[in-house]
Amino acid sequence: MNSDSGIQNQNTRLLDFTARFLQENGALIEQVSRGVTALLPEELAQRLGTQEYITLCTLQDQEKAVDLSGGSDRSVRVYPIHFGAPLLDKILGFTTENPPLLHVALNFFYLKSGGFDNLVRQQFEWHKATGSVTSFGQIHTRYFLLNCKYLAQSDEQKEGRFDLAANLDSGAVIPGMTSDFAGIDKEFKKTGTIKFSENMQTRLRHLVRVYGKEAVEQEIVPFKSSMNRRYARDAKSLDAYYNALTEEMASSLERANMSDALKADRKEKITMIPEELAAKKKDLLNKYRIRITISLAGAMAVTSPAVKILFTASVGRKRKTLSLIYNPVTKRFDPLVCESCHQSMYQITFGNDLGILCHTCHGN
Amino acid sequence: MAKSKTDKNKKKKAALQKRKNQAQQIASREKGFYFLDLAYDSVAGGNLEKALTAVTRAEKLLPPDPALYKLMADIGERSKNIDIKVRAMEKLHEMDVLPKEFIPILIFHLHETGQFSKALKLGHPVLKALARSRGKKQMQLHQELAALLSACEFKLQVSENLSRKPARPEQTRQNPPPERYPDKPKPVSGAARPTAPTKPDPKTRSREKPVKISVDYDLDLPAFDAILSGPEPADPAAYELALESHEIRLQESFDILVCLPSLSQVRSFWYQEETAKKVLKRFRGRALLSDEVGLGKTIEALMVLSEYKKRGMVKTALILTPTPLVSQWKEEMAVKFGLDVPSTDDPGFTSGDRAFWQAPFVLASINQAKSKKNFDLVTEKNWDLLIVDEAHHLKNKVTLNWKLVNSIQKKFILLLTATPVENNLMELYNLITLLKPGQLETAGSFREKFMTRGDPTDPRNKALLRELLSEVMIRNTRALAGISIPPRFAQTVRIEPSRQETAFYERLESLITFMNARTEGHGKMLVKHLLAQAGSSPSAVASTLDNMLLNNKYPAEFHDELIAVKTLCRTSVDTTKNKALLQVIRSAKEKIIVFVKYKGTVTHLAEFLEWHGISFSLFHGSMDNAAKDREIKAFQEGNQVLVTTEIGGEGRNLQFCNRMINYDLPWNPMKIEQRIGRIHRIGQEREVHIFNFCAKGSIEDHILDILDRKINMFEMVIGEIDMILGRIRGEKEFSDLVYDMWVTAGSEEERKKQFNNLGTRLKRARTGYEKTKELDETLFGDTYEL
Repeated sequence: MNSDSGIQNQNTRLLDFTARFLQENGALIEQVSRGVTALLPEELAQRLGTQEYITLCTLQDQEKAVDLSGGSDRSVRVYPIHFGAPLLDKILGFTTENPPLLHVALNFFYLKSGGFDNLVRQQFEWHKATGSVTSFGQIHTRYFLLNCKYLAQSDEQKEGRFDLAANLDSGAVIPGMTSDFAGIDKEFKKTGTIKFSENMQTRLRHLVRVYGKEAVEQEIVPFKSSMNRRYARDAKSLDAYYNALTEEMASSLERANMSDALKADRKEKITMIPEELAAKKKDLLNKYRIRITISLAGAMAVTSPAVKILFTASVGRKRKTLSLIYNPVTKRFDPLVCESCHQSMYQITFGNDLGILCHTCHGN
Repeated sequence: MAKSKTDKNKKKKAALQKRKNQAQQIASREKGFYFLDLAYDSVAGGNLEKALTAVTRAEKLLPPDPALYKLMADIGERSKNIDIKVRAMEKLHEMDVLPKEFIPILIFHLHETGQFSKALKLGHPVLKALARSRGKKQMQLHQELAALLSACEFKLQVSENLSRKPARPEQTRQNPPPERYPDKPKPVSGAARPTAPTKPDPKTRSREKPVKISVDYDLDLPAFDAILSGPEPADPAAYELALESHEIRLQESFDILVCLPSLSQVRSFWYQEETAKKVLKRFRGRALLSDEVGLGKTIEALMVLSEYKKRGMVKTALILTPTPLVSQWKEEMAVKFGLDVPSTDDPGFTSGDRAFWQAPFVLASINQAKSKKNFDLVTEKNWDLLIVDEAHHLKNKVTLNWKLVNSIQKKFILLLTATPVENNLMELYNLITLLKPGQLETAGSFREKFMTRGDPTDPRNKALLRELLSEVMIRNTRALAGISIPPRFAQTVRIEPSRQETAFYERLESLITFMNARTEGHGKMLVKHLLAQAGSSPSAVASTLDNMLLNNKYPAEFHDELIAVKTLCRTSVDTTKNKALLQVIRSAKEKIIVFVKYKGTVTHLAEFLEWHGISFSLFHGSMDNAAKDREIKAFQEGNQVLVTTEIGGEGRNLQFCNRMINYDLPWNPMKIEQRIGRIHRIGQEREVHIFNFCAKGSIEDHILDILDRKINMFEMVIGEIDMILGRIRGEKEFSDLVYDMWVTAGSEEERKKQFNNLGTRLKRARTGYEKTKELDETLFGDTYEL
């Protein structure tokens, strides 16, 4: 791929983004031959530190871009948009300042109305239990989609994004829901707030810590391995250097013309070498240590029709009725949640009191 | 008989069938070749879709042919169809005709297409073969391949875990039944008692379990709290924009300096930005910045600091400089980078103050940092970034300077010096060892490999040395930076003071001597101030004396003398100095900037110029920005003269003017340099003419004599004077040296002698600097440029 055309495509995309931001914030936009002209509301112009009538263009088109206002200083009205451009940087600062929360209601033309036994059998595994679906009915359930980003910093940095979806009613993390979302009929709500209880807030943060960590671990495998490699290489270099230094200094003690005082001084320096090496390695460990911060880029509070299934499990002579949620987005059941560690799970074990547990908690 | 007929018929049929099959095969092959030719033609014609169809059909009709699969791989490459490319490469590999250098590429593509098992199967033998190689490229490839295979293993594990149904709990029980796996082996009767463990053999140290770096996770709680607090719902378009913004931010690597948009007061050059990127990306925060003088190493270092700070990778930083440069760094950091950091120059600084060193960003003189009271405080803290200016002061390993920097705990370190080697290559060794111990091996090994007996500045094995240095060093030259500014010329205008002016000067001097003696040197600041003001104008002195008299902050015995001197300040504006000024302005017939130190002198000159009908603009710190802009515009568009204090023109383009007058002279040559730098800078197209005014026999006269006549400072390249002063400076500022000589000298003869000595020292320092410059140019040339 021609690198110039790649850059041009990128810059065009950035230009488009900037134009949409301005339009979204009340500006009038007009496409011209080598860019976009924009008439900004006064408040927006002040916020961005620009004039009200400006031209946006790619870097390549900077000289040829239309400047309709005239006047001697073109630089106050014609803004090239590219990575690192001051105006783009300001806009990115505004758009990422506060993570937005979207309220969405999903609509489905058709909800599954049968075949749940089969689906339960496929998805769930019941340890020392059997069961069957006893009844089901349509409900509305609430999901929370978290658009997260991570920043891994060592002596370099790596950033990325991942998404998590959780059922607010059960607390389960729903695998695959964020990727299945795009083609579904949605209705956006512009009023009303959602209150999260303290418990729910703690729970959500915990979910992000646990599942976010899993998501990030996969992404940073090459990064982590690179930092470990660099550390190993630098530590090996240090070892080799200090070993050689020790040998050199030790062999210099055998020189005939060395005074006792100098020998004593040198011996003392040799004994201090391991401490110095340890300090340098500690510096290296600190340098390559990876610090990962997980933050929120946005979130979506989703209300969706779903099907609630009552599943009666037989555990020996005892019976337990469980609620399972059929998720029309993923077309699967949402996982259940371990009553002990709150891990989402499809392999279910029952405790003595018929509480549902994951294998690890049951084993403990 | 019948049997043989049947057999014959059978044979005939078989032969016919065989011929038929052969004909079919030939026909198929013909067809196959037809499609193969079609595929070649289609590739040449740019029709990749047709080419792919043709080559796929050819594959079905022809026996395995390397040429066919090579074409298929080419089509896959051109049409970005990885699957086709991989398939073709696999076939070539099976036929054992895939060149060895392409196997890692195939492994990479298998990984890309999720074929982890195949990647692993192919990769392990290659890895083993590479492990035996010695070449640098092979070793690098080995590392990259190992990482790739590790990722494949992990991803394979993950996908297997996801697809596999977990086994029943009994099968995954962690603790096996004790009767099958005893914890300890039963002792064998008669076995020898185990011996004590021996010390680990250094050679086997490498087989010890490697230390893994830690990974710490944290949540950005405020961001979560903002969402979970139940804010008003966002607009879908705003939501999309927010997510897209994050995607855009993700694409900003160290290829883009995110700090640049916020550095509005810095006019950075392309080579400075590239240097900062190289330090961040390639040297990963540990570098020796050894640009030639005047190219802005300070800006480069502060750009690296700002970038790391903006990205959150540096939260603490220590900047160490020679004592006289602390104030310069402080000003540059505050004005250009918006970094207002505590420094050892601050009035409130106390040596040994723990709280001072605990601040996140600290600017300190290296002498303070290495002192007994502060050494432990500095070295016990973990600094993210350490910057050391004038790092050639660390050239000797036995000095406390070197030991301090070596002991400081830091992640990143930048050493700044225009002269990394002054007398001996070991100086360079000592600097590099601070950055990366072992980079140049041990001292003995370095001497053996790289130094020539008898000439400590002539390196051997230059190619190898160059390779090692290029991993940690950048040295940009003026040629690379494209900095070409017309020369500058200076003229000293010595003014014979009038009788009145002489009387004033003499009276003031005696007052100063009296004050100095009575206060036992404690009134040094005030005395120095008055002396400097006397070199500017009587009006400047008058304003200080007015303040003293108003505030009554002086011993009573000085009162009469103060009044007497103040009376002598009341001269007319037509001093001999002003007459000389008028002469220069009128003969120039062009725009001219007049630099003065004191606002009192600005007012004095404004009155004078107005009286003589010279059009002028004024510029000083008390004006607001709008007024400053107006005055500069008026100077540019009409007025002939700009009278300005030291801040004059900072951040403004004054290169349309090529003449300046130092109406008074700062005692610090760096300040003189800064004034000249307002017009003698990139963008200046004409030769710059500097007129230095001084009264005959004054302290400024002596200073000019040294700087101009002895070392020709005004015709030097920007920044060189600092290099020369650095050689004689020690702990005292130049202005303090000069002041001390002036007030302590018992007679004019002694004064002259002391100034002569200073001049000689400077001359020697200049010679030494030029030798070092020549040496470094020979050693490094343009090899370490960007």
